[in-house]
Amino acid sequence: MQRLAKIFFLILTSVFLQVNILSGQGTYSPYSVYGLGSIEGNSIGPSKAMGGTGIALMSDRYVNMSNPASYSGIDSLVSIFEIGAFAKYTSFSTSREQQSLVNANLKYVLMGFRVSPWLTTSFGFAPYSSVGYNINTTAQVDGTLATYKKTYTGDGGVNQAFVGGAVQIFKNLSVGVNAAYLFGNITHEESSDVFSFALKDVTTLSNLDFRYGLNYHFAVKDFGYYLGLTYENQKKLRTSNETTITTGSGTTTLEDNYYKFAIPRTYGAGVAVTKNFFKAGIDYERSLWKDIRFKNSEASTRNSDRISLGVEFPSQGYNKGTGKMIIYRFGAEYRGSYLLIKDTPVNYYAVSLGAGFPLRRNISIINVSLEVGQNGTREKGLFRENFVTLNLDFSLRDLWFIKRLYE
Amino acid sequence: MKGTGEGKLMRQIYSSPKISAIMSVVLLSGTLIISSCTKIGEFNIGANFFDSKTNLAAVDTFTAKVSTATLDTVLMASLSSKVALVGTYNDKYLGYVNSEAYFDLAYESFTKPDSHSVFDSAAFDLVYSKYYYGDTTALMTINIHQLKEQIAPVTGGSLYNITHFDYSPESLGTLKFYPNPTSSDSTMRLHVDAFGEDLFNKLINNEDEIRSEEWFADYIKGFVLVSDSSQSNVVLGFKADDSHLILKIYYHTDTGEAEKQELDIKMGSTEHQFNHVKNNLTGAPLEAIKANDGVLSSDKSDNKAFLQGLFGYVPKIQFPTLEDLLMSGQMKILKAELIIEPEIDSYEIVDLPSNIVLYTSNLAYNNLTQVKNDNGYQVTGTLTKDKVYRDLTNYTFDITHFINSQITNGYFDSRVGILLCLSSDKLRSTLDRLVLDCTNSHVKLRVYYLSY
Repeated sequence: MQRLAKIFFLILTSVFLQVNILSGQGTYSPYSVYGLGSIEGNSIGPSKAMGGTGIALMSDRYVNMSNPASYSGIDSLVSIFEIGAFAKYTSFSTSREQQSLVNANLKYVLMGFRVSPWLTTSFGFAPYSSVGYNINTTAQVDGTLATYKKTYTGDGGVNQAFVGGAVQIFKNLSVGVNAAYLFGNITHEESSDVFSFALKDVTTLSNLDFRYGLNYHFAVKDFGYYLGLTYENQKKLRTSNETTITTGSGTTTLEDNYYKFAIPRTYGAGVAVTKNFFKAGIDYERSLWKDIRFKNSEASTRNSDRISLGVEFPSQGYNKGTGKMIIYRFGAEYRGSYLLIKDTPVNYYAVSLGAGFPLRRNISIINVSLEVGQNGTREKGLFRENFVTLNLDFSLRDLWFIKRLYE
Repeated sequence: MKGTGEGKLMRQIYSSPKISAIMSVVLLSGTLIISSCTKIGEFNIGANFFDSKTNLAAVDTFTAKVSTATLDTVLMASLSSKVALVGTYNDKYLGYVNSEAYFDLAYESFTKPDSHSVFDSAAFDLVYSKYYYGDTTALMTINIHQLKEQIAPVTGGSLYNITHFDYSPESLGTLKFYPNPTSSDSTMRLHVDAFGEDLFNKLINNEDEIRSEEWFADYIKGFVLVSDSSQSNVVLGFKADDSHLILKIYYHTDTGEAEKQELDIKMGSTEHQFNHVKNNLTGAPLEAIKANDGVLSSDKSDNKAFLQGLFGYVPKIQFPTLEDLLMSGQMKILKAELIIEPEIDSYEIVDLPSNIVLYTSNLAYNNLTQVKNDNGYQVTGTLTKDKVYRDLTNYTFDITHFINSQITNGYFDSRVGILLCLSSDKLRSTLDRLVLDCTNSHVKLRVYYLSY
């Protein structure tokens, strides 16, 4: 009875959080005007503190989304309910000026638990990509010398609601798959307050997407060695579009634009080493964007790479080895851009550090991480983003399968 | 059952549903705070990444076709404005304009004066209404005449400004004065002693004429205030209601100490109070308007168009070339402004109207429809007065909603014309006027449109 109540409560919370995530702003960057926007990547929680590394690591006290095969690491006695949020400060600079803002929102809701000795599942809701920008320009009134303020805004993105499962085939080998329903809408709007007009272009996207993963691990003496592989196929997204123009005298629907959106084929590989509570890993991912075309005249695509490395170790002191120990992490990441704007790539570099704090009397953990980095460049009329992101991840764990001692 | 990893350590720990619940609640409230936390300011970095899909343009080179029309007298039914207009004004724009004010007196059961009373004098009180039309510097002469027939509405139940009644040529009284309509101490007395004495005697003797309403009305008939225009050039307004325009009879009692007394007879029904106006357009630009069925194009009236109250002259503006704009592909009109300029020297003596409103009408000019805004109110003009650069003085009207409602069918009927008008009450009770300059681009339609 208690368990049912708990399940109900958790589902209710998930739904509420999902609705919240959908209505909030996932990102802010003028670079997100292209294609599907800023691509989020698959690292969450503790991975974020390690530069996004996680392909070779197993889920233990968190759901490791980087590799579906990692779910096999979830403890049989524990169900994990995980929720993440972020707050980001970004400073944008061109060769001539500088502006900045703060952006915060919820990010994801995940659950994971073991169904049987060889099968673990997870499901959840996380962003795939997001679009956000609000830019003012000065436009001229044709036929006069007067100018007016024209605003370009964009919001939306693609979300994923997924169900994943990992099967432990042998003692050393797990394979897993995430089946995700990708859905969302992206709005681009061009408007003026003074003249009361707005041209709004809303595209709704959806499709199913599968991501596969494999994890092979073995132990030599005290050390554990892991190898992870992931693969995601290229997928076209089904789209429908509505373009409207609104003025003081009403709204007219224009002929729909037809945009092609797709997610690229992605390969990932990672290696990791563990000993006791120490972990270190390296990730590499390659996404084949070359075949995907954008409609914008200024932008083109190229294949992109991501490399990261990360380390995790426990605090020394009398709590080491207990449920009360604090875990420290740090890492670094490089993402080569898939976007070429005026033939110039928009590359991403970041270093991160963080820690996991267990909550007293309880087996839940709060993971905090700080990422500092930069994206883009000031050359060729582009701009650079320097950012500091604080990520918060609550990993609520619950013992579902243990009987109370006094019952 | 045995778990793996850390589960071994936890087996003795109680499962804790309360904590889950508390954590969920904490998170729920945390989410509300976080999602309202995003601050996105106004940016311009990144502006060069956008291909604009819209283009905003302004055009004001439409040809304006302007004429002066005359509103049907049906629309000009006299309004009991409670102002009596008397006087004559003449200038080169609207010619010679004259007004006579008609009214009668109200019957009451009058208090019979004491039989030993002695008549002193009688006078009508004239109180300025502060309205005037013209030049107040010259000496003004006003005469009051008694009518030969009673004031009665014509067919339709209204009095019109063209209605008039016969009056006896001899005046009952004359007042000469220098007009000062804006002064606060503003009551003048127009003496009518001979008439007053006659009425006083009837009151003392309790004669038939003062004992019934019907007899009284037939005896009084009514009055008209007429001005002598030889020296003055102004039309003045006087308050005309039951507390002004009163006939006051002054007498004293003849017993012991002479006690001064006063008997007041108030103005009659406001429906019987109206102003009769006439004009003479000889030598003025609108001279040919009557012969031309009440409509005269601006190129035949010295490139001017005219608005005047009481006579019902209204400028009519058409833009036959507006339709060309609508041919230019996918577009929407965001704003349409009508900008008009008054003729430069035409408001030196007579002020510009403070409020001009827009109507459209049928071809007989007897049925007007208001030109409205988005919010359902009639469009009124915004007057910009520039004292230094007089050619920057203009009225601007926002007719966006009107133009958009005209083109909903995809075309614009160029026969549709906009009439410039005074508000309904001013139109029927004042001589307010506007002389419109119709030469090149002084009547302008400026349209802002968006193409996409």
